[in-house]
Amino acid sequence: MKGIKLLAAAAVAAAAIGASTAPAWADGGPVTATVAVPSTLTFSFTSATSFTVAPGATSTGAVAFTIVTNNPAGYDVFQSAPDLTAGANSLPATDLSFVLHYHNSNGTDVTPAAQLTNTQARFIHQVTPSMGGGDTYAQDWTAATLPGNTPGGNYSTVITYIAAGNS
Amino acid sequence: MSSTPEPYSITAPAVMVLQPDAAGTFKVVNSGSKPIQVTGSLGRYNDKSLHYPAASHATLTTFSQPWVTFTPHQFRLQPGQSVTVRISDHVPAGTQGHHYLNVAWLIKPVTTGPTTAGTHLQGAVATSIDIPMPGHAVAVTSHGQPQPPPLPPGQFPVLLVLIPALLLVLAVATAAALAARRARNRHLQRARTS
Repeated sequence: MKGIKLLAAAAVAAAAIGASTAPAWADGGPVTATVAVPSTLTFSFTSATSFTVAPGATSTGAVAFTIVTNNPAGYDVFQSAPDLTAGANSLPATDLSFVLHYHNSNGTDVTPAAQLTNTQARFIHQVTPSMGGGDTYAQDWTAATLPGNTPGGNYSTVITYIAAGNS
Repeated sequence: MSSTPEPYSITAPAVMVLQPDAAGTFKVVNSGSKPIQVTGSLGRYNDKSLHYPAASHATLTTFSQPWVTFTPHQFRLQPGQSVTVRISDHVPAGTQGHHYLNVAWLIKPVTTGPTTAGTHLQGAVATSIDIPMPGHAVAVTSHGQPQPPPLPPGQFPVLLVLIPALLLVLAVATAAALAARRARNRHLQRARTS
């Protein structure tokens, strides 16, 4: 009888210990782990940040940049530039035009050779995240042939590129 | 991504949800190998911020009185360095639906010496801010001059009564002044002939 009482007491004690220390998985319930991955957007110039092109000529690959994003809705890229100036003289920004090249994961140029003017506001519209290593773009810039009476000088402008995450 | 960072590169959140009349923080990172000067500004760079701007007045070409503020606006970052930006918003009462704005982070090389000739480039990333509210937002579809806001309820009936009353008082006062002047002229004429 005494032995049975001891066994019963031990069983009760073991059950109490078990109830207070048993891990959740012991009950069959799931354990949830959460990893928060922020949505980021990176813009990088992969070319020099200035270029020169003569009138009537084309500077191949004058501008190159890479965009990396994990945003599920993708991104847009805008471009703007004021008129070119050389002292008091100016040329319209549309005297500069470009062909955009986009390289896919195989490195193949998949962009149609469409000439776009410098007034193009949004010229890239992607609705998916970038490739793992980034989406790479390059522009061949062409300067228009100028009239013979155009005042001489180094005409310059600043081209601004803005990559915006889509929501 | 290449293991070697490009010279000029910037990283910021692609999108961010900011609750109405709330504040939050996020980081802007120099992900390049050279120092950069960063300038922040508000703008509209995607379809949603163009059509549903978080601003008190907007057309498709302009906007004013944005609901969003952030600090700092300008800073310099060394390679790998980041800055924590604090952003907050204040939404006008009665606003419905999701509204959007972008915070654009423009980078320029930190250069010394004279600027080289030629066409120069500058790049930016624009974080898209989403301010969610219940209901449906009204899309901006108009161009042209801003319209004055409608009068609040309760004032329109007062003006309906007040303006005609003012005109009536003015008419009576003018008539009285003219009558008094005629009477004075008649008096003076009688005085001359007598």
